[in-house]
Amino acid sequence: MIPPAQACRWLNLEGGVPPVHDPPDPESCRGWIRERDRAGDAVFILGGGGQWFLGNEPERATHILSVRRWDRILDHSPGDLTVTVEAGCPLQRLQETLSEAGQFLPFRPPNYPHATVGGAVATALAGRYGPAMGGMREFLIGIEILHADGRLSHAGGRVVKNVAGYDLCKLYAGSMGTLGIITHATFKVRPLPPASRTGILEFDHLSELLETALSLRNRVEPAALELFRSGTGFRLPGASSQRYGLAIELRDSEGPIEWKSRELRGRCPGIRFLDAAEADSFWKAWDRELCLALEPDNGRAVARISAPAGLLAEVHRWLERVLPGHGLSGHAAGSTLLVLANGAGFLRDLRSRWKGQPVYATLFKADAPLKQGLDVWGPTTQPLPLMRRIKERFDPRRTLNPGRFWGGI
Amino acid sequence: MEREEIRRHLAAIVGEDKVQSHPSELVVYECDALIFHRRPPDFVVYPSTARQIQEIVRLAYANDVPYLPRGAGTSLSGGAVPISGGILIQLSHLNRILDVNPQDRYAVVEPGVINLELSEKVKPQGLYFAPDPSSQSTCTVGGNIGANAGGPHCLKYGTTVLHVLGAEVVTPEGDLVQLGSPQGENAGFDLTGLFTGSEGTLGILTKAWVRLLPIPEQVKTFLADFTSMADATRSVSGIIARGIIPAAMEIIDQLTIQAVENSHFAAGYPTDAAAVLLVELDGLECEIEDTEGLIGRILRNNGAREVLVARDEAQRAKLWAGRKKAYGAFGRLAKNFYLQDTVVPRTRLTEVLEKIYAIADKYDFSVINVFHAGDGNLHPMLPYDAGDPEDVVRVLKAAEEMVRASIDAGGSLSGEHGVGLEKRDLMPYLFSDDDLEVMRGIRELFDPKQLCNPEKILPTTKVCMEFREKGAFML
Repeated sequence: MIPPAQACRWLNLEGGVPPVHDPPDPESCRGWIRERDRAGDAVFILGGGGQWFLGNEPERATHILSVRRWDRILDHSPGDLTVTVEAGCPLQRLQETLSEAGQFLPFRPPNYPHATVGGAVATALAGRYGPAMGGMREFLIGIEILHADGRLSHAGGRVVKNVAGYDLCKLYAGSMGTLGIITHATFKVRPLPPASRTGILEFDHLSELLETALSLRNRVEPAALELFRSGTGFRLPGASSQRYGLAIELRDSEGPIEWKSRELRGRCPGIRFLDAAEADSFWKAWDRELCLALEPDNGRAVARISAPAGLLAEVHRWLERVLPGHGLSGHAAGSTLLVLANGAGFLRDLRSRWKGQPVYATLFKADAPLKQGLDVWGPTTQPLPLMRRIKERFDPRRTLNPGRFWGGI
Repeated sequence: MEREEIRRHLAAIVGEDKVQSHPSELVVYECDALIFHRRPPDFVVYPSTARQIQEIVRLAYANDVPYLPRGAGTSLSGGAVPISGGILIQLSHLNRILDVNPQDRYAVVEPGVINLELSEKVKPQGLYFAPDPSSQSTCTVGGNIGANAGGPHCLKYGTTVLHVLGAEVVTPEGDLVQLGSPQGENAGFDLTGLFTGSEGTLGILTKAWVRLLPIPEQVKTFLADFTSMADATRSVSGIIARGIIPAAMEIIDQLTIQAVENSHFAAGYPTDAAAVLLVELDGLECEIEDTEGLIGRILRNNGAREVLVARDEAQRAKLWAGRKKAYGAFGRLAKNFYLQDTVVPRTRLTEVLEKIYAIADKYDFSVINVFHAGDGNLHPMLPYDAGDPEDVVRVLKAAEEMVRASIDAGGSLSGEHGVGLEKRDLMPYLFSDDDLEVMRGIRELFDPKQLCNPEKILPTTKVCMEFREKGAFML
């Protein structure tokens, strides 16, 4: 996991790294958070620390609350396909436990090796399996929250289907720790596909790639359809900066993988299948490149751009003109691009060029000075006054992660 | 404002012919599919635009008049009952499918669109709307969103919330706002997720962006029959344990089989079976080929006498009609039925079912079970006579015990029907005061005057206290 001081490099904090509180369990944290709340402090919640690049510059930060010692798997019921786990449990450790029972959670948030369960819930970034297998809102079925005033509350439960009252799991997932401190969460899990295979296709134009990806999505239902191009901040071994790559990952049992591979060869004769070792190093390189791009103080900006399939290629053509040589990755089936560049200024131009159209651009990561004066999240389609009212109700003194979220929530 | 004045204002908004206020017209709206709670509204209005809904809500808000939205009225929890009177906003005139985007796989619909009509409309594009409650030929997409409706196939595809990308809503203060976005893209808090399943208490839906799924390349339906219910439920666990999540797994018990086979919906279920299990696989042909042999083996190893595979679409439809129309088939057996909805962890199904049969015995009811076994969602049905007050009390007591038995086994109050009025006062059995206080906070911040579908979902603080002191509560 990333040391707190290193995680703080993503933030432009006055006065250096705030003191870190590291309680052994949620119960013993209740009094501490209540005191911080009464004292008007601002508490940053630390899981693995790998996603602290996200969000606005903090309004203030007087303390860091580390949940890393809350790392137990409280209940895994393989027959029910559910697991309850504390927030500080490393996601990879959870996956190992699940895999022993032939199960998994399809989450690959950025900086995956550092990710904790709580951090994954707080950002709700699913990663490459999201478009095909579903994101956090699909898998989170229960949660316990420690509120800023020291109360503990629960929502949802341990059953996979539940409509008892408001579904607060949805509200907490992706709320960036601005509403409460996640102490533990319950997920429904999936059977782990026993086999996988990765194939690579290359294209001269992104529009061709997207068209192919959509037709493959329907025909072979891959687990992941990721696009890439080497360029600023993103250099995959063997990938060209001139061409666009499409990585197709199949995850299934042997029979369907063979059938789907034949289908892929028939439809896309240029496809190159990687052997198991190659596939492993390809995806490792993929994760590593993204980790490097997201590192603090490297001069890079990473923006996430999403648009309807019919518009995405056009948006990218425009990007090519204003930002030649940028690195690219993204979810071809989810119509989302991650654009890697040397500065974040293009974001303002992009938003103004596509104003009024369903093109959403969020600045994922930029060095702290580059974030200043930029609306990191971009315009929201939702009513800000309502979102602010929610924050006010849950955290009236603005104790938890103040300022990080949309509209400075 | 006087009643007549409110009526005049409503008529000015929607037109004279779109307002009803005569008792003979209002009585139709006094209850939904749960018949225990009745109260007619003071007015029924039929708006046809979001703007009109906005004006109605503003009128209600300014004059402290309660109001609620209604789709097809198929709610089984009393959620669509105007228990405080006021204005019932009937959304059936907002029934247009505004756009279908096959590439990004979503449709833009008004709330009054019928669930099945949406799937039929997008069928030529190879798509469908996945939520499939038994009432899908009459219920509306707006109602599905309000209730976060389920159905047999949500075992694989999830309940309605996973199929809603965004929503246009009139808030209880009369603002027209958008939640989420057409692409389901992150836009701050997941307000679409929060709104879905809020049972019409957080605002009125005027438009929704809903996900469409590709029609599966192949569907295969199995019917296995068992001489004991326990073997059927064990088969369900056996299938899940082997890492297979079918599209649906439904159990139909002996009394149901007999009712169905004696009705117009006779599906060919073996009448001497203690239970039958319907298993449906869908997906690519290669995936089904890979799994079907294994399914057959698991079913036989768990005691299935026979495993029938539907040979064609006609037989498949017949097998499903027996399941989906089971409630209709019961019409021959008793004057009324009380349909319960609880959910338990899958591994506790056998044990909780035994308790349900025991509770039915204790209250001298013959209970019927036809349910979504794959996700642990039980639907015990109790035949009773609504005209006999003693019978009503008895059936409510038995049903409440069944709910408690489910919660005690780690389950929940409701898997898909919602809380509404029916289970409102049982919420403290599942949630602590602090849990409920958080929900109450949500309610208050959306609806400071508590006029939007009032008295639903959340019990009053007084009820919570009484509940905890006495340790029991009657529905």
